[in-house]
Amino acid sequence: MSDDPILEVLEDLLKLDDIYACMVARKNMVSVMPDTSKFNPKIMDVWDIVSVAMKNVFAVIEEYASVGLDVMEFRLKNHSVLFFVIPNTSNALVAIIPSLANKGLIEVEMENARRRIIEILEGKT
Amino acid sequence: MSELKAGVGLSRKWDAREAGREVAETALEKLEGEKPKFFLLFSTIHYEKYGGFQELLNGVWEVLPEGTPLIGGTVAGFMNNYGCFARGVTGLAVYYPRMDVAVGVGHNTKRSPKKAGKRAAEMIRSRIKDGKFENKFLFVVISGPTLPQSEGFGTLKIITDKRLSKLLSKLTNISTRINQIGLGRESEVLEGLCEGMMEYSLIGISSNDDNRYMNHFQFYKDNVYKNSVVTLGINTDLSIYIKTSYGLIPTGKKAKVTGTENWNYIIKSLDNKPAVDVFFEKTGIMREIITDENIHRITPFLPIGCYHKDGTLHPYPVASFLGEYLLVGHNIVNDEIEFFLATGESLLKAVDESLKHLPNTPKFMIISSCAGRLETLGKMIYAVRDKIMERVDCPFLTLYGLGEERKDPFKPPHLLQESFNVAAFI
Repeated sequence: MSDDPILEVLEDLLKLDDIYACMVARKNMVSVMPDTSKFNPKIMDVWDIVSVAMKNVFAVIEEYASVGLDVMEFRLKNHSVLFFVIPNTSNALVAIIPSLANKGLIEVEMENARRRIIEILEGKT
Repeated sequence: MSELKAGVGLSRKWDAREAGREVAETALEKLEGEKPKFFLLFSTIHYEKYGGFQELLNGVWEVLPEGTPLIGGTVAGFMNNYGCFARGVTGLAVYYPRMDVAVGVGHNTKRSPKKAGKRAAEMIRSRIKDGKFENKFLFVVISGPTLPQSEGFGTLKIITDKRLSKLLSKLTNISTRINQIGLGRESEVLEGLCEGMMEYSLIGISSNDDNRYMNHFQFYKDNVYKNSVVTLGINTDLSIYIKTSYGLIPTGKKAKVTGTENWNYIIKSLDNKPAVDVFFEKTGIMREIITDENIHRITPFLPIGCYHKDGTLHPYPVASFLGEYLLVGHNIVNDEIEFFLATGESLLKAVDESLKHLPNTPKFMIISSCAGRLETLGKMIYAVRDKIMERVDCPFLTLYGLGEERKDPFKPPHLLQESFNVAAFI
């Protein structure tokens, strides 16, 4: 059990079969990330290129989050990367999932995780 | 003053036994010590890997008073007073003195569907007190369809080789009847269930997993079953409001069903042409766009539909393209079909339509809806919950499964898809 409640939220999300990796990140910085040994090894062959692509996506998030950018997604090889923007922070909850996953169901749990992170940041727990 | 007490429970714990205990505790605390007249239990498939469903039930029964009538099953997701979830377990406990209840179960729904429905009905009829209360309601959970797996053909979502149509249709039939992996045949279960219970209204849900269509379960008392129907019968003095809505947009493009098989689940031809060709012609979508990956995110937006002779709309999202044939999620009930459209906005409007005529404030609600709607709306499902919460402040459960059952008193039962069905107790 972690002392960091946001890390607990991420570790919980990571237990879902189709969440291969997740983190809270912003441009040029990972804010909170579970132990990478818990990530699904299937992401290893795309990890480097996903990391680079993420930096570019965060440039967009940083620019448009203040005008209501909510969710972004890109697909790379057999993976999708979902960004759920955390309002007023330039951070996003990021998850790497297989492109064959049932994304709608994953989105529901991503949204629950985002709502929980916002509560934590607002000091509601 | 109402003597009715209802509570919705929730657990997000991963361990099955702990989750079972917590969902029962959180539901029962609202009953303030009263013994529930019934308990509905619905879970996502995840507990299969975290202790198993027997352990989930064991946890529930550590808390639930002995003898409480319990039914339920696995669903793709659910919504309740706490939020929207694609992982976890929820329950509804209700206490009300002027309510008689009984539960029933029937097995082998894919092999002998009518017999299974009849068996469940016999159990309800023999156990429920009759004549005391005017309003009669059935809540039903039926094992939904599963996708046959084959080394040669994968999960049979999209097979482009038209020469294989007949073979695949036969394989689907055999797999359903012999292995009970395949078509849900819930309409036939309903037929058996309702033929002696025509005075009842009904809503229900076809069980599901996480939309992989591989494995799902039904709960009855302290047992976990597969390929079964579980039923709760209620006789009460509460008024019961049942409403179905869809949010589908008719396109005016029509066709005639000219060939079917496998209990009308497979459409072989439309207008005497291969059904697959007509589907792509009428919808205007390029067949290359649809893949194994996205088929169930696209076809719910392009359902075909037809009207039962009593006027009820039956929508059908295409489940599989099997060569020349279309496999749909339940039996075609009329030869005249129309092509419909759905949008995220129209799906949300269906919620308004179901709720706007709700008389007074319900004491509790059970809602059954289509897992395809949950999959297509994704995180926007919270907009559905917001609409419900704006309209009512009672305990409620919304369940997302592979089919939705509904029936009005003295009218035939229907298995539906892409629908939103409200049962409100007033």
